[in-house]
Amino acid sequence: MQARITKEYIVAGHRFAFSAEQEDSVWKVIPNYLPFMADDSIPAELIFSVEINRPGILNRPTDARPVYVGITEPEEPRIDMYSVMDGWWAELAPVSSMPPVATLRINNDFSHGIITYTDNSMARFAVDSAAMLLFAFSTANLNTLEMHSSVVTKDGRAYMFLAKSGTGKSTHSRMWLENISGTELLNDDNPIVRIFEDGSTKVFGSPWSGKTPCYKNKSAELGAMVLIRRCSENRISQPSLPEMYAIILSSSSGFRSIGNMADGLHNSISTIALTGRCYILDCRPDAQAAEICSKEVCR
Amino acid sequence: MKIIEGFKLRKLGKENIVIGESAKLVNFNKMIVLNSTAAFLWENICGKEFSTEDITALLVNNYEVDLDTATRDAATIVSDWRDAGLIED
Repeated sequence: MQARITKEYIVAGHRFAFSAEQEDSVWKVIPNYLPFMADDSIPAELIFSVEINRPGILNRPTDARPVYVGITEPEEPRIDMYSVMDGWWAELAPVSSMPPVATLRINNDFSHGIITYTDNSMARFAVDSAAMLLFAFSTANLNTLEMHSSVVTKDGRAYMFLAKSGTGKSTHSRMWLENISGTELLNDDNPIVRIFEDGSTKVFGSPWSGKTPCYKNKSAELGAMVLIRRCSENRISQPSLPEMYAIILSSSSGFRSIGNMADGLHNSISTIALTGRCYILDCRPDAQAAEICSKEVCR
Repeated sequence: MKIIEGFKLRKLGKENIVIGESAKLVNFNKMIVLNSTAAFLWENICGKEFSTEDITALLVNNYEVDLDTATRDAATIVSDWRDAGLIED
């Protein structure tokens, strides 16, 4: 038995920890966390820790009862959730048609998880999936949203592009990067949004950025959230308040059916919707779309 | 009939919205906006068995509306909620 080591990280001001054997190759395949290594001069409460096991056989506990199973989009990762006597059990697959390649045992309050994966090639997927799941669950009541979005910054503000997978969030970010001066990519898939007591709302980079290796430990005040829809012409509009809520909700992570997560998610989503900083951009994947969008939302 | 368990009425500023919040409703990808009267009715019948007549009575007893109008409105509301998948028998 080798010595286990623990490493701590801070994302959006929330601290979490991974532990694994010192020589475990998993440490080499998760460089996306390095920019987020905890700096002890920053006070941040530990919200969860994850124990990473050596590869092994995945055995579902006999008392596991399905809570959220088999619900997925084709070619998207699948997360099946079960409840067990002392917490939760998740089975993870990189695409929905595959059998699970990793499992995550979670305690009742989402503060601790144990990962097991089938072989080393699945380590990165398992660790990222587990960390994203625990982060979303354990921060839902801490005025924090883990969102599915591509986000750019300009003049100190963050502009988040939301859409169903494959619609062109990343493409629209690229249109800004190529055509709007002073634009920088903050995160391409899973930024974190946090509402602070002073009323400010900040968007943070994270170790999770989809296919784009953009792991920035940076943040910016929320400028706007923009729903991207494909269209043959470019036009931007502001939806009604309930529509804004629905747009933000559908891009936020977390299971509303688990525990009191729904209350926390509702508070965060309604706070952001009520600021009115939400738009719908019907657009082509071209430069003019970025110009029309930035002209409206950067005011 | 009754409201299907897991639907929750929530406040969004001055708006009233209903969202599916139980695991059984994960495929319910709609959000329903209720006006203030519908929200009042919802609060009074949520979690209980109710009939269209109960809705009519709530309308007559709490709003300045005659019985005929209330009967028609109650039928419309029940029908709308049923179409939206909010009600089960």
